[in-house]
Amino acid sequence: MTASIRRSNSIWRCAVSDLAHEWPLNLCVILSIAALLFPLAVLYGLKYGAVSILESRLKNDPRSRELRPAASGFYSREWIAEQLADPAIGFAVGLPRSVTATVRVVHGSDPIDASILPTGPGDPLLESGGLKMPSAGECVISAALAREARLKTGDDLEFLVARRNSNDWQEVSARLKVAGVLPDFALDYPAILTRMEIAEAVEDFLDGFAVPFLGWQGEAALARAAYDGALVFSKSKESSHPEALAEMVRDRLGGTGFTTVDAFNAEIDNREVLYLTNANSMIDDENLNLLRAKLDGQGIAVVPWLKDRMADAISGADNVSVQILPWSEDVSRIGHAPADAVTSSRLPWTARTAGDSEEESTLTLVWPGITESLQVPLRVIGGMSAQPEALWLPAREAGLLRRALERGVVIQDGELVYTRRGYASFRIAAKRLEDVLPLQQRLESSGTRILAETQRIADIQMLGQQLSRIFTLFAAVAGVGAVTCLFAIAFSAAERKKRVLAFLQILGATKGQAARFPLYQCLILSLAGAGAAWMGHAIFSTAVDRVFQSRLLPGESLSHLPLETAGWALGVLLLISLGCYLILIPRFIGMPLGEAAREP
Amino acid sequence: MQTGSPSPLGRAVVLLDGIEVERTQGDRSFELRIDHLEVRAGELIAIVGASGSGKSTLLDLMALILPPRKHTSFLIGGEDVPINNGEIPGAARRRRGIGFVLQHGALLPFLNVQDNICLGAAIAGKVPDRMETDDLISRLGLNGLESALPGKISGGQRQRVALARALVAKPALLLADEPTGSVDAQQAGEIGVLLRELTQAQGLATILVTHDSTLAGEIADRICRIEVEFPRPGQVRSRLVLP
Repeated sequence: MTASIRRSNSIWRCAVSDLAHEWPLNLCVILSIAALLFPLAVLYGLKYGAVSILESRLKNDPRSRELRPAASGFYSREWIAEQLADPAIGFAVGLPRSVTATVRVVHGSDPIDASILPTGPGDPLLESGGLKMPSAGECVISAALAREARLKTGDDLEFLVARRNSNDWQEVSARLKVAGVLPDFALDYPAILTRMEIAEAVEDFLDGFAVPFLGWQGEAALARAAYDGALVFSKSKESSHPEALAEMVRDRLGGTGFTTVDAFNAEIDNREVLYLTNANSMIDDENLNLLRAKLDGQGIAVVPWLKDRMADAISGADNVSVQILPWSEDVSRIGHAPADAVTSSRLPWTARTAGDSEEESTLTLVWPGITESLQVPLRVIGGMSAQPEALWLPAREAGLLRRALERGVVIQDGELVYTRRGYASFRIAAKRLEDVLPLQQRLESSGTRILAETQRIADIQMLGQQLSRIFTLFAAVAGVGAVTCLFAIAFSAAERKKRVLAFLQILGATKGQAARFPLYQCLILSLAGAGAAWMGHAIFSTAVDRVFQSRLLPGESLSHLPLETAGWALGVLLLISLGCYLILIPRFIGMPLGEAAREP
Repeated sequence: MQTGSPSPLGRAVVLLDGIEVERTQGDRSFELRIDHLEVRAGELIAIVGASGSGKSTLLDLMALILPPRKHTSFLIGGEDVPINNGEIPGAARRRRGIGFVLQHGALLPFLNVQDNICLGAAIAGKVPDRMETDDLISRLGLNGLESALPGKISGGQRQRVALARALVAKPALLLADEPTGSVDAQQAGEIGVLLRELTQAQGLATILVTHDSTLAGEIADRICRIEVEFPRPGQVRSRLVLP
């Protein structure tokens, strides 16, 4: 050890020994520094703790980064693949129609309805439970399903799917091995996450198709007509009592599938006409028949109807855009439609439109947002000059085209049959929370209204920013107090220690060496004060977490001081302490040695 | 005055010629003049004088705490003392090997006896020889007090500790400022004897400032007096007078 190090060591030992000798006084100094820092530590701890809980819950909640369309639509496989190419998107998968994504799970108890959710790599639901993408023949289930069906990882899950074929029910089943269970917070309803082929298989089976790889029998299903609503009116003019009609219809709506009754906005043949719809779904022939049965014997007509223009239906070689209207005998009876029956079940369909000529034509349906179109061969006959843009098709055929707006439909052997065109919905997950809003804006710019947690994300980010501003203000005020307090501590130390430092100089220490004595003490006291404040915060944090234990998830702390912030606070404290010390150096070492030597 | 057979004196440790020191305190000014003073190794010089005559100022000068205003020769520890911009560098103080025993011991209250004794040597960057330190402690009658704090020992013991601290770094010059001022007569006698013995045994040049003429007479080789005159109110002028 060199003489220089020995000299430094001796000053260090003196500084430490003096602190130990005057420990009650120095304990007070440490406590006063801690008392200065502790409220700040608590304030910042609560700010970081509360905000980080909100943020981590937001980050861990698989729904936070998820974007879904607000309503069903058409989303092709190509479109889904395009989304995956977007660097802001971490996961994208098509979803089947909700009515064809429900199965019944059987596992030793009563069957439980569960949703089939297709999943894929990067699915936030899987990530929330640290689970891998299930392999073929495997699935991941929600905690709700695991609880209700008493299933656990490694169990075999059997599910049933049933479809109605004419008047018979066909039921099939499949088995999947449970590869994992999602955490409780990920999904709050019974669900099976599996590979896309299983979800498609269920939807295909419910649509009437066969699913060979699961051994489910079936065939290509004929498309079923669908309508926007139904027109209801008295068959005879004399018995027309509009108010009584509306009241009577409302009384008989139950169980028919219709939910709303409005006045039709056009008066037909001087009769009051009601427009009945289901607010949430389309109407099919079964609904119409149920309503007709309820109104049987009342002299009331029930005819299917299509509202406005459902698609760009282009008829004929001269590309005339037309509105498709469903023809029925009752509509023709009141003079609203051509009088002649236009009935055909096989293609080409017979259609009536303006003019008297009769020609073979092609009806091309082009839907907004969908790349493909449907071309239907027609035999157009004239006879309706009043509505030049109307194309009257028999109600069933018009309803089939309406169905094509919702479902993939192709022409096969002269019939319209369902085909898989894509998906009715999708689940997209942004890679980062910050990407959710731009993605929502991009997707909505193409006409799809998107549901996302953007408001919640913005609220939490705003809360963090506002709290930062408030606490920075607190910190600034506390900083002034800290400077005053630390200066007072340093000043009092200078007054008490200047004689000791003079003695050290008499004994041979240079002024620089003697000046290290208060420097060491300043550093030790500041560090000890900061340590005491940190310990106080740790105790406070533990106590608060215990009080709010029931509301916190494992690993969460209501008051959390990040190491980086604690480091900054310590740095600022040391800077202030050193600043006070440097200002007071002349006072520390300025006592005349002769004066020090004489004083008792 | 020392009556035993004088030991042979060694080299000149202190040589002051044509020295003038000035000190002001408030509106009071103080001047000390030393025409000539030479102290050799193994010699104990006592400085006596009235209170406020400048005894301590003389010691501060020799301790290199106070620089002279004028000097012809200013040799301490056998070497000329450098003066830079009217100040004496701290390192010069350390190099000269000066032991200083102050009136009240001036021990650091937070260090125990052992650490206080070794502090001077440690600040000088030296490692005190353990055996020599133990021997010194034993000679000064401090056995068993090594771990005691200064506040727990008597005034006489504190002075012995201060003496031990001054001696442990093996100084050439020992300055003792009223070392018996705060102890009783018996302890004063014991300290005086110790100073005498150590001066001879270690070949020290010892300067003892004291009020106690009797003690000075008993242990000093020479006794120097400081004479004071007051030319004007608030002005003190002193002069060192050799025997």
